[in-house]
Amino acid sequence: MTETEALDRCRAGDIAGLHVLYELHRTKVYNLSWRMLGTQQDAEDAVQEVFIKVFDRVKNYRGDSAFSTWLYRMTTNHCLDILRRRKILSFMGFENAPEVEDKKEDGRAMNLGISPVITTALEKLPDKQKACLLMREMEDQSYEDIAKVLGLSLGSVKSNIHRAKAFLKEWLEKEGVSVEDV
Amino acid sequence: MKTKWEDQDISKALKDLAKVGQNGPWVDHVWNKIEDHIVESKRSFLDHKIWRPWGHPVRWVVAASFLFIAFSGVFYHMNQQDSMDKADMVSYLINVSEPTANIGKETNFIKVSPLISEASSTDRDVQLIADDDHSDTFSADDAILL
Repeated sequence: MTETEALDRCRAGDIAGLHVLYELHRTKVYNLSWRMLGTQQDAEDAVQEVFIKVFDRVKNYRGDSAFSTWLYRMTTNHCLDILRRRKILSFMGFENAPEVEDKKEDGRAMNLGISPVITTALEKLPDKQKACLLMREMEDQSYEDIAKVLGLSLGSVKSNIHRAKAFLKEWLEKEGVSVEDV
Repeated sequence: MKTKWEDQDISKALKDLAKVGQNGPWVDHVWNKIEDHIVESKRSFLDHKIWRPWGHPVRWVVAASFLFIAFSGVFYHMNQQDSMDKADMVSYLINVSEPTANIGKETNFIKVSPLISEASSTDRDVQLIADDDHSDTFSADDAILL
């Protein structure tokens, strides 16, 4: 089944159509959510909520842009909403993001040959910069698409990506992390 | 060992991050949850209308408040009715047990309790009837008997 057929079936309320879309896009949605939110559990919850939203709102998708752009826009906005909510909760004095989960994440990343330092460095970026950088580097999205998704100007997207990269470079060098380590 | 980071090094590291988590136990687990949620939301409207107050503490508070207001209303209404009945009975007993109170200062007039007078006869609490008026029902009966 192609993506277009899957979308049509999804619009008709057929869950099989959603399953095809899930198989096609779950990895990117998961990775984007994981890097945005920081923990595996939050990423899984985000994937679940995003695909439920897709099923509910697929009738609103008119095909003006690629489905993946529409999907990543939804994912990014969902993650930004969660991060905003977290900030409010932390301002009110509630705890979040348990440490045990983070260590498990790091262990998993190590097993796959990826140093946890990048993950730690990403955590330190402001939300908008992180969203711009991840969409550009992990999802290969164009500057125009990122600008549309995040409601920013083209110049603002470029400057956010530039600042994020500069911060990561400075942080990694300060920590003495070599390129080969990562 | 290269410790000077370039833009392409950052890009490569981030692209490597995208390869993580492509397959794992989360894939089926998350899909099952999505499927369950959609199947649940497709159930008929009436199936969702089962209200379980014990499902959430707020519902407990709502249910308790509703019951409190309802019972308070019923008790208040019952007490009001009861006290009105008692007041009527007390006023009747006072009128009946104190015959001197029924005799007014005006000569030739007797005070009659509104409880034993006709409902539509007067708008005053105490009706004044002339003593020498013999057109009452007893006199009429006496006349017939004679």
